Amino acid sequence: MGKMHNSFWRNTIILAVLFTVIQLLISTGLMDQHLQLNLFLLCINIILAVSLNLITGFTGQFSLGHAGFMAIGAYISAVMTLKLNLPFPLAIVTSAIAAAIVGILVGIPTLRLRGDYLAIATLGLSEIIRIIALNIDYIGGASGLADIPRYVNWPWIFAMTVATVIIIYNFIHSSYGRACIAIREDDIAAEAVGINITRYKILAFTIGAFFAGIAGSLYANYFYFLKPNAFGFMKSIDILVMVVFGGLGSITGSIVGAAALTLLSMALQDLPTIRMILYAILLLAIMLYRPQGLLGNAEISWKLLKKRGDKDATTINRK
Amino acid sequence: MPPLLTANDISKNFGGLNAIANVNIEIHSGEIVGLIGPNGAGKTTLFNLITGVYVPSGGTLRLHGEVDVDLAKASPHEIAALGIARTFQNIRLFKEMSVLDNVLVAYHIHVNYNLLDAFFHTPAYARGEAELYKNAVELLNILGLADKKDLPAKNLPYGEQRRLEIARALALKPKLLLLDEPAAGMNPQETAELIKLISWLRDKFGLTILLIEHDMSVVMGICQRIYVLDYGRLIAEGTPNEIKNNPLVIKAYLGEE
Repeated sequence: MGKMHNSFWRNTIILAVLFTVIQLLISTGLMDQHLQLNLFLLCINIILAVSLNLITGFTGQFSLGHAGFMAIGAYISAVMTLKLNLPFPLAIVTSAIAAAIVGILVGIPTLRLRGDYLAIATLGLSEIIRIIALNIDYIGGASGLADIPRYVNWPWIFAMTVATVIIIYNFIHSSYGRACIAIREDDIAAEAVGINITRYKILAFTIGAFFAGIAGSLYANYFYFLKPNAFGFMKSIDILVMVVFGGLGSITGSIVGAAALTLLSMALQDLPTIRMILYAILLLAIMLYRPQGLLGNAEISWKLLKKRGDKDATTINRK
Repeated sequence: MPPLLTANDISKNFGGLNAIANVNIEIHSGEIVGLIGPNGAGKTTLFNLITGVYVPSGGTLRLHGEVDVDLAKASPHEIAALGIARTFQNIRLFKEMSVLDNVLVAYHIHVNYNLLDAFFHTPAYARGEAELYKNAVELLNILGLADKKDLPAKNLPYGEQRRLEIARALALKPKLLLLDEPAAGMNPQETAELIKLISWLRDKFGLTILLIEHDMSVVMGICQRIYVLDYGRLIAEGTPNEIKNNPLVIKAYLGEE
């Protein structure tokens, strides 16, 4: 118990220092607008990646529609703050709940599907959401919404990111989370130990959608400006890439993945012509040289290296 | 005393194949019952019918617990919660999860904290998890796996994987335990230990056990009664001695002269 308290306080202190340092950098103007924008985007991406990892990495349900839930959150938050002049806390809560409700409604029929079918169904869902947004004039249609009030500051984004990570981490380290992981591992055995697999898949999907809604709301009320094409297929793929890169089934992995890919695309912003090519090559290289089990692989390659050394030595001796 | 489980005239067809045809079975509380038959006789199909993986094509299947339940209308997870646990012929553990987590997963129907407790790791969560942990370790101790509790399940040797499946099934606190070839792949010494373990578990947990097994030393050693299936039909039932000398059973296993 004492050990647990130690790590709790250590984490709290690290987070408090991180928060304070960045807050100081922002308020003293040492961190410029460009860097700040990318930092906020990074945090939003962490929320998206961690919440998608719950669905795809931990529960094993391959979803390609995460940007759709983000879009719901973003548009609802934008409409509530811009058009209805409602307070932002109400808007963010409503966004999250609305995304979660859509998650339930979509989850009930689609989560009976497996693998590729589920991926196609969720992809379809996010396209439907995007096209609906494209065709409603009240929310700006194709040109989108502009002049959304900026309510999101560092305390907001920091608090939401930390809350997302902690809540999803806690969920996974509970009986509910174990049931989700069991479904990923073997759904027939999971049912045989009394797990209602449809219910748990929907639960994971809904929690994932809830936090994607929060990410959308933060996005809308930070970037002033929304358009439907920001939430297309490519955005869902982006989030998925962060999750796979960081490691399916690893929360810290998702954080690292989101941070690395956000920073990478920031670093490549100045090379617009070759940016996508470099991005693709780097991704390929990373996937080739850093497959899932990092530590296990390092050991094996170290052994291989040593073995190869020995072999060389013997051949030399034979000569 | 009324039986715990009755299968009345139960059938299962896959297209034109009668995997199980008009089978009648009764299992009484506290019994260890064997289910034998040549390969493809329908033994595992019968298990899948009892556990709700398949829906019967005909007949009735009832569990007589505190309430009488029609198993044909229940889904697998409901049947598990009613107190029917099973192991699988080709082991189905949660491979990447630890040995301990495999057992903890099965305790989830007995968890006494809710979703909000899980989100915020409240004191109710801490109490609930501590209790689950205690129970799971106790169960692993009984099955001799406690010292391996932190290993991934896939790293266990074969015999221990089979025992872990039994531990996981016991975590459901079942009334009826279905064992699908528990001795498969075990050496004679492991099999002898398994025979002792199964009888001991029956007494310790007040279980009723139905087991499929090809190893006759297991079947003849611990079963009070045996059912014999061949081509989906029940060809014999009786005590081990009656079955050993039954001409129909000998014919099914060895063929005719």
